Amino acid sequence: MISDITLGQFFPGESHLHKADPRTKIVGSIVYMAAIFCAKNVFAYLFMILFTAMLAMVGHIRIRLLWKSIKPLFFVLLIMSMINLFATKGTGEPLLSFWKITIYEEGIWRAVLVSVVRVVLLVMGSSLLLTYTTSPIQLTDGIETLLSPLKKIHVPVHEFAMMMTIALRFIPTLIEETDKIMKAQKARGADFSSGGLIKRAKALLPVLIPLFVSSFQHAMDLATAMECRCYHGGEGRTKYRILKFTGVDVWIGLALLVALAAVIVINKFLPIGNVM
Amino acid sequence: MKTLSLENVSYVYGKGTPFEKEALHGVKLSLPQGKIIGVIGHTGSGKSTLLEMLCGLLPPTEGRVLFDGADMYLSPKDAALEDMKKDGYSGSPFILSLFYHKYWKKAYALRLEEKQARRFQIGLVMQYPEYQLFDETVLSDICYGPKNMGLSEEEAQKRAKSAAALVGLRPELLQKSPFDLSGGEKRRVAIAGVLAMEPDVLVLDEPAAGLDPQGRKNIFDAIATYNQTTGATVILVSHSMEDLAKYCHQVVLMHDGTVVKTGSVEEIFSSSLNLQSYGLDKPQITYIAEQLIKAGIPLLGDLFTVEGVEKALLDYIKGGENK
Repeated sequence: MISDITLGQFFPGESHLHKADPRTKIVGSIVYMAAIFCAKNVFAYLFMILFTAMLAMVGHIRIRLLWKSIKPLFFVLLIMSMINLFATKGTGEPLLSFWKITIYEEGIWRAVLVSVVRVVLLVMGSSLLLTYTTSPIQLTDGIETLLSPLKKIHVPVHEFAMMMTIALRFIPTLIEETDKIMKAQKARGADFSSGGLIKRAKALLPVLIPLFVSSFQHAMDLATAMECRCYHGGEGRTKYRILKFTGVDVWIGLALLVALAAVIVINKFLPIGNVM
Repeated sequence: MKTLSLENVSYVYGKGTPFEKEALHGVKLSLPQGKIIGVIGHTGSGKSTLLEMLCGLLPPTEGRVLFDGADMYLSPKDAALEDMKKDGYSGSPFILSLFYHKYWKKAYALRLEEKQARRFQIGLVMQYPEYQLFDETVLSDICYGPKNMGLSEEEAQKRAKSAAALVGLRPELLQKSPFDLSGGEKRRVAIAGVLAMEPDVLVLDEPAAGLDPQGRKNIFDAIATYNQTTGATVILVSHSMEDLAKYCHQVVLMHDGTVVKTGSVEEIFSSSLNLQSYGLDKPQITYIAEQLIKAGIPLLGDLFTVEGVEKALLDYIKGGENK
């Protein structure tokens, strides 16, 4: 069902991760990604798995929700791990060899760690730090402040942030509307699930046309509403919620930096089972 | 004619997420056929959820919705198991499921067929239905439903024209684009699109919301005419107690996801039930009638519509003259 999409959805809460400043979380997720890309061996990956589990605990996000964010990636992961499995040339004897396919031990490690674990951790970690625990408004606010130095070279940062806010704001509205229109057309006998590709594409027309019409309607209404409130871009605009760093940010920032450092140290001093 | 009933139906939105919300719980309801049934309730009492469920669009989390005696949401698996039991197989569902592949295929095809057939037997007009319009002309938009039923072009157009006439759309509008019409006209086109399928059960979610008094009257009159001429059951949600009192035979009162009371208009709007505690109110004319009775003017009959009270008052005045 359409409403089951959780990737990129915010789950309100009161945890420390929720309370942290969005700027910390944006920069933090870059540090987190760096740590994952630095990880070279099994121990480093294990460490990052533990660290991600800890983040989930701090953010009060249940495992099931994390699992839901991974599920749609299943086929991508499968294909990636297949490619890694078959395309990796190892140094030792091949484990298995038939026809044109040879599998090395390194291939298995790469398939599991590099394609599956790494991607899963990347998606989970960025979901945890960003989308699950940060509201879209906070997120764009954070991006706007982080990019504000670019204003000096006349990059319309505020306008970009506003466009992002509006786009994010309308995702659930449009999903809801699509759902409603589909239900209405189904009640009139529309059949979206049978027939060939062309028939199915045609069957979607009665959904897409009303959706377009209402999107334009929304855009015009929104423009009028913004005009009525004298919106004129970012110049001289004050904020209701001013971003502020607190103790939580120090802790989260430190934890992420420590994680990055730990991964580098593990790479250096535990060079067992290197996969890269 | 087909009957609709609900057995202990519950529905939970977003089950297993932090947004989990119970919309219906333990709803038991049997809808008499051929009547106009009004559903009233405060915002968020579960009316719209109930309607979608009645139309086969929303499988209940628990309980059964019966249409014409058959479970509307019976899964192909359960249907296959039932068929097997009929054929004399017995055992636990797990054991049976190991052998049911043949039955499953048949049950699955049958479910799809039934589902599609039911779409045309139960017509749904959702809240603000004008957003569902999409075609180039009003006529072809109204024809969309009938054509999906597999009717010929001529038959579909014939039905579309009579449905358009029923809701009071002028014939010259039929060749216009639906997006050029006014709000009230769009609403009528959308309703005509459902009426053209000639459903046995017509379900409407606030069909007159946001319309002017004349538009409201037109739409409710069209619905009443459809009910009288075809004998179809009509289920409608409305926030206007005046309209409900005037057009409905039966009223279902909902509160917090359950059905509090079902009864005739008199039973629901009589003073014994404190409607205000459910966030609702009686028709305004009923308050006037009650005050008149208190002041010593005995009024009899229908005291829930302006016409009814008018008649009661005239009867009273005539009675006084006769004495």
